[in-house]
Amino acid sequence: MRNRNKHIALFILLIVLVMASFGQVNRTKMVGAYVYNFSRYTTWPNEPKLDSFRIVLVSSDKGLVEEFNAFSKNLKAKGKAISINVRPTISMLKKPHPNLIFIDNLNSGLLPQVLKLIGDEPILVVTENSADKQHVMINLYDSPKQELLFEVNKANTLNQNLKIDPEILLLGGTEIDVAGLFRTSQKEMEQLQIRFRVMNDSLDELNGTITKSLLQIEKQQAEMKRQENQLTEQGQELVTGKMEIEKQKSQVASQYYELIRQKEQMNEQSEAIKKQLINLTEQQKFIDHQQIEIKNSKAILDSLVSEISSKNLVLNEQTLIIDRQKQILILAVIAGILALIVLISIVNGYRSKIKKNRLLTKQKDEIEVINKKLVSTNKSLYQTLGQLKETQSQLVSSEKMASLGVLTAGIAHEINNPVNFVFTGVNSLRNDYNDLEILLKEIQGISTDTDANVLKNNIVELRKKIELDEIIEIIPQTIDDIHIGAERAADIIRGLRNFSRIDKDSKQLTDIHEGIDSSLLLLRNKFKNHIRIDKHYSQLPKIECFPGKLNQVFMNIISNSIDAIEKEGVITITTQADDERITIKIEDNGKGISPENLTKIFDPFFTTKSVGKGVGLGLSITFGIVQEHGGTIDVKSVENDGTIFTISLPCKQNN
Amino acid sequence: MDTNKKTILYIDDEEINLRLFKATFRREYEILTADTAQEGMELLSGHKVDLVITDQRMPEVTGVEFLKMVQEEYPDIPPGRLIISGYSDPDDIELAFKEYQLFRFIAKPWKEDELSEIIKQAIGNE
Repeated sequence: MRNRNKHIALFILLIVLVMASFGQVNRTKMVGAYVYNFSRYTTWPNEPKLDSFRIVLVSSDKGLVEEFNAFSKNLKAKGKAISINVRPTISMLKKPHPNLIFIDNLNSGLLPQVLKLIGDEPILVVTENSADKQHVMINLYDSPKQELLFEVNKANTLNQNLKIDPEILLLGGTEIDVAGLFRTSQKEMEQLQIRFRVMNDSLDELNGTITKSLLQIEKQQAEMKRQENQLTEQGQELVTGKMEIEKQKSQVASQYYELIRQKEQMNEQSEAIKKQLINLTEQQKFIDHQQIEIKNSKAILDSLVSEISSKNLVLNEQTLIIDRQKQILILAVIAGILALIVLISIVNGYRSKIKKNRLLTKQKDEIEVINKKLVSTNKSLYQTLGQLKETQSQLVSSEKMASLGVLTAGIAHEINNPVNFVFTGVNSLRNDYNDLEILLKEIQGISTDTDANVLKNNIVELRKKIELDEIIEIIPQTIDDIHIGAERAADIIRGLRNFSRIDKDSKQLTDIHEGIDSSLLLLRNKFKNHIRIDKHYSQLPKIECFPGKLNQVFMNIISNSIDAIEKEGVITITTQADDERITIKIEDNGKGISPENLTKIFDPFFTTKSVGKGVGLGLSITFGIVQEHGGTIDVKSVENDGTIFTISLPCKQNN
Repeated sequence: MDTNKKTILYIDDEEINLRLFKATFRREYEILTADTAQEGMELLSGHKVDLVITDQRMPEVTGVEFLKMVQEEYPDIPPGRLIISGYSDPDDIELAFKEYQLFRFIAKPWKEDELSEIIKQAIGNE
């Protein structure tokens, strides 16, 4: 069967090859066909466990990807499906490991990396046109005749624990001559080494030459430096000579200038003398001329004087007019200024009005924002209030549960003791009766035939054996103890019923003493060992109340009093009544309450107890209940001395 | 006095418990009772006691405190012969974890069979 499949595949490949030779099948299809067949001719060690053959295709070539996907869909290898996983590159191996990795032409550089990744896992790596013949497993290559062939490096496939059917070579492959490869590379290496040595030698030679040249260069450099220094020195000498010449030049020049200047001065002086001569003649002429002119001017002046006096008159008139006009002008200016001031003030007013308006609008906006905020704050406050109310009611009920917890613990303890009396007493009685029974049976067995002496002896013996005297003494005592136990249990249950009686909607006439007593009974376990209770009860009328709620009041206050007494102490309970009200005073000689705490004790959640021992609602609830009954509650306390709670309740409720 | 009987000292502040305990076990054991720790210590000094049972909740000295005192004074009484009795309310249970690893614990109310079994085990067959 396997053989036949192989032949069919071979046939397909041959067809493909033949078609390829006719140029009808492209190279991509042939690559696909080869890889498919490699999977069929290779045997993996883990092959029986495989569900399918997994091929990783490292390529970005669309044609190749299509071709691989096509044959994986249509063909099976050794009856198993083929799955293709295409990756543009490969940097890690995912589990389950692939069986075959194909690295295309462009990625052939990845081969060393892939080999490192797979280690000695049984994975067949197929490369395309890889030059690295030493590391390839199966390499597809294009022959010079444009044929696609492949070569197998058997040693490498064996390394991966893969067996490759030799028949595979029939498909157009050759085995890589590893030994040959090794020899060639060895030879190449040797040649390289020789070349290396030769290069080394010539390098050494070159090194020597370079050292020599360097020395020469150094010498030349020193020579150059020396010459440079000489040049610099000569240059400096030249500069000083030059400077000397310059100096002399400038001296000559200045002497020359001095000469020219003196010459000029002399010229100027002679010129000045000439000018003064001319001036003198001219001044003479001018004086003559002026004398004439003065005469003329005098005549003109006379005429002018008369003219001026006439003009003065005109001027006076004009001055008057001008003064008037000036006044008018001043008035006009004043009026203008006034008008301007008015205008400015109007403009200013308008401006400030606009400003104020703007401010107002702004303030209005702000107020609106604040308003909105207030509304939302209000809303959230309402919500918080609602939540608070809810929490409060939850807390109130939890406080109730807590006092119920105190109650149950107390009751359990209180009831257990008397129950123990009954249990043990009955056991004891049964034992006593068992002993008595022996004696009673002896008596039961007496008949007229019984020998009186024997009987007497038997009874005396039995009496001693069963310790009859002791039994006679013990039995009545035991019966009493059982009675006490039963009575105490009954008391507690009565107290409990009293205490927790469910309040009806309307108030009931109740005996307050009963309530106080049942509270005390339930709290007995908390105080029996270290606290004495002194009761001073007066005659009290029954009062209208919710008895269950009032019992909670007594319970809370007495319980606090007990907690206030650390070692030993006394709680005094006094009751009094007048026509309208009753008063209950509960007094302890415990540690007292500090003045700053005294003002807070009725506040909800105020507690001095540690977390978990109370939420601080007891007295606040107490306060509420007393108020509900139209009563008052008053507290007086002295630190380290004690506390007095006084409750006053009306006998009759108004509504 | 029957010299073969083992002696049990029982301490409880509840007198009726003492009386009933004695009535129950007087046949098999010599019973000494005390209603305070102090009285218990006095009895221990005057008698050879094989087993000590004490109530846990007592005024002044609790059962555990009393047994610690007994251990200090009479180290020859093995811890297995020191028994605490009490009601199994939460405080006592917590105490049981802390302290009763030293002492045995019998819950109240007693079941007679259980109690006599525990006593037998504690005194053992020397």
